[in-house]
Amino acid sequence: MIGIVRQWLVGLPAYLWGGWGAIASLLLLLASWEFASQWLDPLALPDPRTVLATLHGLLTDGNAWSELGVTGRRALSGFALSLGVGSALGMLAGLSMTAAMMARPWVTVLVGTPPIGWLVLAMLWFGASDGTPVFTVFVACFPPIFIGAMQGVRTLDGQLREMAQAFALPPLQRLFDLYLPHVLSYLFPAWITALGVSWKVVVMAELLATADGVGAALAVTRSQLDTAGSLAWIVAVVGSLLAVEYLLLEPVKREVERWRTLA
Amino acid sequence: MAHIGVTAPVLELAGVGHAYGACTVLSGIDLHLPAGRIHALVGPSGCGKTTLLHLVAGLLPLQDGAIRNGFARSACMFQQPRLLPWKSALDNIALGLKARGVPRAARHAQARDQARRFGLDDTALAQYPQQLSGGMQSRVALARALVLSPDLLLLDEAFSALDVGLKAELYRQLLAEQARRPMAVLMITHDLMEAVRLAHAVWVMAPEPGRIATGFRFDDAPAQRTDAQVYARTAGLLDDATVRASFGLDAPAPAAPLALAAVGGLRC
Repeated sequence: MIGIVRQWLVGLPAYLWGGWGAIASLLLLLASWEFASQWLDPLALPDPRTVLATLHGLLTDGNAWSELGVTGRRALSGFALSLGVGSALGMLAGLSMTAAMMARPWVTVLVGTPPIGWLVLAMLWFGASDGTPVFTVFVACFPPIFIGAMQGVRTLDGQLREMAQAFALPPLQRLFDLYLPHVLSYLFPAWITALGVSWKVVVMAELLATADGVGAALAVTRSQLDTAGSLAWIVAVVGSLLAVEYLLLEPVKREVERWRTLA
Repeated sequence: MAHIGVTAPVLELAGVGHAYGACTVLSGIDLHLPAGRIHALVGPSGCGKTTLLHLVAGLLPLQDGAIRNGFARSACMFQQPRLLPWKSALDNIALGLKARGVPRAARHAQARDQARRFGLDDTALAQYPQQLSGGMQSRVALARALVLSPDLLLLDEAFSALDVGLKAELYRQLLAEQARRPMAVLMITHDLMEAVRLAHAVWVMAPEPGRIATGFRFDDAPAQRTDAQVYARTAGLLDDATVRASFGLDAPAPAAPLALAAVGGLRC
């Protein structure tokens, strides 16, 4: 674990340097935004500099940090719950053909139920507490993680499984040396997808159900017809998602999957 | 090996049979493999050889008959290297030791020793399997089995996908290890010449259902066999009517039953 953290720190500069392409493409998006804003009413689409100035104002008066903190706490709690429960249940389901076949339709039902439906149920069950956004995020993140874990276990090479049996690997070693390294290559993309879902769903849940957090702040800007403020909050949310994904999950994934790229 | 005494372990199969559903793949297999001997099961594809080896390795539940395995430690090598792609060659070799609970430093030292005997240097040991050539991967797979100091080694067509040079090298490694200590080897192969080169006893299997059709003994030490001897014995085996029938070869050759005896083979 310490090794992974060290590798992450050592690999970070090269990784960031390799991100110039991504940064350039983001700047291009910003330029198109600015171009479009010249032709549209500032109430419909304010130009990026106004939005960034608004965001800067929100950040410097300290308001934004606490709201982002509240939202991040809720999103990450729901995501972490899903990550634990979904990964574990998915891997268990993958071990048994019967469980996998039974679980499929349930997951389809979960995927098919709109998050807004869960949100309404959660509001009835949990009221205006943290439980509402956390539960909604948990339910929305669960299907991709569960499916990823199940697929990972199901696709493990039968020959390797037989080899592990022939060499009498004990259960824990089987989990850490055989299943997890293979399943992680399915779990990581699923986790990243779920993280994006968690960020989107938490804002939606807060918009409708809570009095604080980024979602609630968006509700206020909407009622005041403050487009610049709305966009500022959106930029803050997207920015923090990008930071978590590209500064934390991606580099860890690269390190864990180093064996794959060295072929 | 009688001098080892009555406690010398054996692998004993009596009336072993196996069926997948209604399809019988093995029936009435008897086998007696004492310590220090190499027995080969040869036969055409689909005669149930691999099923038999899986039964011995405990990878399949036994349905019919009895298997008495007196050996304390067994190890396997498969036709494909079957290395874990996310572990270095060194960790792959040490896998079985880790399963036995050998501490990290000790198992790495043992794995390194075994690897050096196989001509694997530290650079190769630090690499992942897919960075190694096919030959290197096979060496790692054999090292992974032998580092456990098994007293029963099971080989499932372990050498059949390799080139002649590499085969010869792995044969040497195997026989050298076997000369060091009384390891019993049960090998499955469809290559008659490989069986004749390595084994003290060659059991020829016939399909539908898989059964032992006939067997031959070669009492000289495998390491001392010359190429000429191996060719002559293989030719002798291929002249045998039962062997030809097992492999589905047509027209029993003009029989020369004395030829095999002349080059040191005895029908069991």
